[in-house]
Amino acid sequence: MTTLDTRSNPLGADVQGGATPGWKRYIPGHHWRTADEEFDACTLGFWLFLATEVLLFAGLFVGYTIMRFKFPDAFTNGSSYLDWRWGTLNTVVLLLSSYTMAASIRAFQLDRQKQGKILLSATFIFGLVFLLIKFTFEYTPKLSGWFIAFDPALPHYASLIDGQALGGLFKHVEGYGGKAPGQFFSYAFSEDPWEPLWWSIYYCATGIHALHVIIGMTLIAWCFRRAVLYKAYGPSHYTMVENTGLYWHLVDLIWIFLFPLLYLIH
Amino acid sequence: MSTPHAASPEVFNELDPHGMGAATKHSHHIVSGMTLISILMILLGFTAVTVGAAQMEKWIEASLHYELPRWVNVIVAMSIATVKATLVLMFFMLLRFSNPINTVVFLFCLLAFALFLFFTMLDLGTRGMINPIKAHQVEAGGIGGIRAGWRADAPIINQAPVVFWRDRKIAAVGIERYNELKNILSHPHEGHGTTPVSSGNMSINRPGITAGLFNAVAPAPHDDHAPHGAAPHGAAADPAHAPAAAPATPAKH
Repeated sequence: MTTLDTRSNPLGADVQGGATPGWKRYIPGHHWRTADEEFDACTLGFWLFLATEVLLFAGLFVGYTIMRFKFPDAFTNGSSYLDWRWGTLNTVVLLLSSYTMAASIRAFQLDRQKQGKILLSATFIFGLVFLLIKFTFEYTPKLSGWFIAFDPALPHYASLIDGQALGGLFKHVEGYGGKAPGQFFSYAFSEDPWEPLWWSIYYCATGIHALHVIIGMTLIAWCFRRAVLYKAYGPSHYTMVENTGLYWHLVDLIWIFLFPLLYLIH
Repeated sequence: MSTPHAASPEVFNELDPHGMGAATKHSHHIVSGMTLISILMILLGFTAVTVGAAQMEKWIEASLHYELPRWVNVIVAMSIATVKATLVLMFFMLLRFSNPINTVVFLFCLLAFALFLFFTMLDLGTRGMINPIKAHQVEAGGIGGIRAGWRADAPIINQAPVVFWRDRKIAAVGIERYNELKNILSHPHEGHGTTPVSSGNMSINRPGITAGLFNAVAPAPHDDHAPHGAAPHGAAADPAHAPAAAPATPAKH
């Protein structure tokens, strides 16, 4: 990540009216021989950090393996509550966002500032869409039984609607909710005694992944702000947007494995 | 003098006074737009393949009445995911073009993951093996201390929460209404196609709650000096096994 260094931080006098873009004014830290060395070291450091991230998710994947190995039926049953179509849509959204992220780095490398900024915002919006789908159509109904009025699954449960909120924007389906992890579980129609375990794994894995999406979106927003304020990224200096991209791709990478493991088992 | 310190003034670089940066000098690779688009298309294609494969497996099971081994689903899905992940790593995360040390770091990380998974599986896979000498020390486990809900003062139910919440719902709405609800709720639109049912030609496992599974009481501790011919462990608590065990006992003596 970029070192916060008053000397190299372009947020200075030039912000008020300087015409030189930030990436041209950037001077590598004095302890580096070349800008390339600094870039390499930053990237290597970021890969080490990504390794720790992978190991964080490794714990979840191993937990998943143990539980699925011991209670395969709970996982098959649990997975059947998930709609593979939402999962697929979210996979497509994340893949598109990965593409726009990679393309925005390319745009900054070629000093196409406007294109870079548009692609960065597209990445941010895809991340937002991912989270909205996850929370609106998956988490909320499963945890509480509250569906948003235009949820395509709602017509199937029309006969079980027993309440509404916010002027009919949300509708409550009797008995649908309570698919919560572990001790929070209170769904009455389970097929397998170990289903609370499945939900624990599901919410842990997707929840920590969603947290990473939020962190990634924050980084993207920060990059965007720097790009807008003083053209911080260009052909000779784009370390931060590159590392943000690496983080974002890792989020995509984790989802590539989570999606089949959670949605496509039967 | 040919040491790096003797850099001639005209090529003197203020940021690299010793001329040592030359060794690490490289051009930053800019991936072509065409490559990025192609990788995206391939990734989307593989997503379609993995979803299609899962649907295909279900279709095979449902229409050909053939139950695929469990590992098929995992192996197919994970292989496709690995190919996708490799593409993302190589082209989106630029491992193909960047400093090879980054790839080394990531591969060592995967090695750590593999070790983690390997030793866990080694343990899990041999859980069923009980040394005959130690067999008599193995006692039935239990699920004691389970509470109904997350609050500390929630009542201790000592049974599977699934069973507890089911019974509570039945008590609240009556069994007819419960079955009516279950009918609608347990055939979700989402469901992975139709659940195959057992037929004369094929028996399919139906996951569910084994009757009496959670009512079992722990057997009395083993007494080496008990008279021969005593009922075997759990015979009283587990009626399902009683008929099988009963003929065995007289046969021994």
